Amino acid sequence: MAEGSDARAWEELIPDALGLIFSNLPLQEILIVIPRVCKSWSRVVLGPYCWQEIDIDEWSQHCKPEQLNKMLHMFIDRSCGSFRRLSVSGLHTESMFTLIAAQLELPRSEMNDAIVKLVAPRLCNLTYLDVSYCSKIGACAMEAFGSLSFRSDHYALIASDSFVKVKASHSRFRFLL
Amino acid sequence: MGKTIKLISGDGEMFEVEEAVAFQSNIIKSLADEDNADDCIPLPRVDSQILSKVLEFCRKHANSPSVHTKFAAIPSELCPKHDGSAAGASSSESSSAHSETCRACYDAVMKLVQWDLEFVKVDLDLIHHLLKAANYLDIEDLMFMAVEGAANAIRGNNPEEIRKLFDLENDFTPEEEKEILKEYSWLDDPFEP
Repeated sequence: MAEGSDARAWEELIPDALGLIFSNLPLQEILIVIPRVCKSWSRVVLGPYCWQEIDIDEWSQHCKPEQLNKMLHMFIDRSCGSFRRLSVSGLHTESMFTLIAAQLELPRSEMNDAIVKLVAPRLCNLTYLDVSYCSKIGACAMEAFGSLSFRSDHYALIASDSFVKVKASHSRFRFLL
Repeated sequence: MGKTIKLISGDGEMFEVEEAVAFQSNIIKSLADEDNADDCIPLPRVDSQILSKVLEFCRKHANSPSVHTKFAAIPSELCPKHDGSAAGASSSESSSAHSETCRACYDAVMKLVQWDLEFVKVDLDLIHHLLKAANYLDIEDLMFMAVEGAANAIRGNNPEEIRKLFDLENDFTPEEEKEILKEYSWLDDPFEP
């Protein structure tokens, strides 16, 4: 393998491979360390490849609601709306529930039944939904989720046991005990 | 040996491997489907040193469930416990429940993950080549592990250390670097646990 041709190897690795590598790192590193390494790496962090999966679940548990919203909007913007999975807990603002993704993990969030009824029809790409410990939704929301025609045969819905009463002909629902 | 596939590396070396091994690569699989069985498949962009590492990985993964598919079921014909007993398609066992309850599968996958993690504890140069090869040959599990190997090298290091490891030039001015840190000043304690 020629020395010379490898000299700028990592800098020029295709952006989606770099994006994949970075998305495995802790949030703090992606935001504060990686962009300072060199300009081409900084560009990758600003672009969509890093943000196909947005996982800020742990961080969202300690931050203020307005900071969470700002962060979330920033990541969604960077992904150019192309993210497939979102994991965040404690969403406070109801409008945040307009997120469309294949995998939504929104435990301990504050959306209510009315919002769910409104938004559920748009979630036709869902394969996985976690709404555990969302205290403001009940049977009505579960019916809305249940009536979605999911794209894939494999999907899972996680909810807490208070929803057991919902007529779940959907054997793919899983209930936390 | 069952049916074999012949591969030619970029530097002209021939590798003959079982189909199950070679077909870990979606590219090789689709090329083999089109061409007639006697031909060798040329892989001009992968040289023999890398190809031999790639095939080592593929050999290990040939008859195992993919380690990183999270919600897909592990088909029972890949389960160590049921090995040899089910005739594949005729198995009436509910495959959707299989991976969640089968301890044997879980253990096998965990062992494979350990092996994979050792496999990518190599120098970054090699990881870079494995990444490119996995991308070119479309080998999902290898791509996943090479990515993990690279991320492991980055984790916990500061920018200067990362530059040294990856042989990158710092093209920022000190002012520019300060700007980046300032960007998150609206978070008072950005990542305080």
